[in-house]
Amino acid sequence: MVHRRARRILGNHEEAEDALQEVFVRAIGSAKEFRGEGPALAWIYRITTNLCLNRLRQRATHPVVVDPEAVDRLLAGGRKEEDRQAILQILARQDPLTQELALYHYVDGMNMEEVAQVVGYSRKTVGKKLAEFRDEARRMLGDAR
Amino acid sequence: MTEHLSDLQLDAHRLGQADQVVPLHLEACTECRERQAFLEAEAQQFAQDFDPARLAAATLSKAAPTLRAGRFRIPAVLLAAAAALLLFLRLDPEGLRKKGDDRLLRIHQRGPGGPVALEGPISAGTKLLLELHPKGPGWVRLFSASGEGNFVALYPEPTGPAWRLEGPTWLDREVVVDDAPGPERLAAIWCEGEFGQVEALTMLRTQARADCVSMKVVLEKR
Repeated sequence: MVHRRARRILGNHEEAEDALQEVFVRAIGSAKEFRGEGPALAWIYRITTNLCLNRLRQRATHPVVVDPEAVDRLLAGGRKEEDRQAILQILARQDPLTQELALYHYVDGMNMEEVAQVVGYSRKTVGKKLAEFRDEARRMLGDAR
Repeated sequence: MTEHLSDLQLDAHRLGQADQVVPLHLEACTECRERQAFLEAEAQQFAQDFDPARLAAATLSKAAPTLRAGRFRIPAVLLAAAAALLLFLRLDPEGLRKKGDDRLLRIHQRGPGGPVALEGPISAGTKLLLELHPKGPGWVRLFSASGEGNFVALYPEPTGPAWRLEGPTWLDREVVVDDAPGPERLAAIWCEGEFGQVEALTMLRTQARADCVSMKVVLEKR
């Protein structure tokens, strides 16, 4: 599960394996921070997500090929695996929180309540941030066409 | 994307930690069942591709500088637990499916002093000794599958009634691992009430009945 998640975000097998090891080390190191307020699985999801997003940000910037149709389908509620991957192409310019929220919602298929529960923000905040992201994404797609 | 189950819910279901609503939704939703099968296949692939001993060693090595620095004061026992978890996932990735299954099926091979628990990959021709630990008196069926093939009845015969067990029992015959490519899979289903072959195969594909426990084991070959 951790490896699948890391591979999906980072896009390659070797980095995903490295991230998998790091997630275990971090999870053990921060075990005291887990207060049992939510499922342990969601906590592991979050550690993996943040670690992989950090790695993505540290990568050298390079032009990204965006598939506007795939992103369109996803923003409209599509669930195809190949479309889910497309959202990662347009996350680079977003702030870390928006990146995390968009990943949970569009890649993992979580609803607003689930996302709010995992990140510890209100459903309203999550909804607002995702709406902003949708607007921004549609504007970017318009520019890309 | 709000009316379907998320990957988090499906992962929780796979690990036996999901809410009651998840299996109910899965029964009714083809799309979510397909997604579940996709995630399951990815998990199987991971179990086949990765060497847990190497991963565990690499993880421990990565943690070592942190331990030396004492920054997080990680108890070594927790690291050992993580390594053990990786090994366990490799040996029995599907055994985690059903919460509290208490290892219905235990697999051994013949050792010099009697049966020894099976560890690591096996060779074609290995003779396996199967031990069943049901939750109580009930009925059992055993299945096997070679490689990517479907499960077929191992014991009893498909047309016969399920095997009645009153408690822990050894199978009265050895199971020989074939030389087909790919891993060998074994499955056991125990139910308090009687059940047929077709129902058993359906439970292996979907969800075990409320009075049943199912367990699948993947045996990697050398």
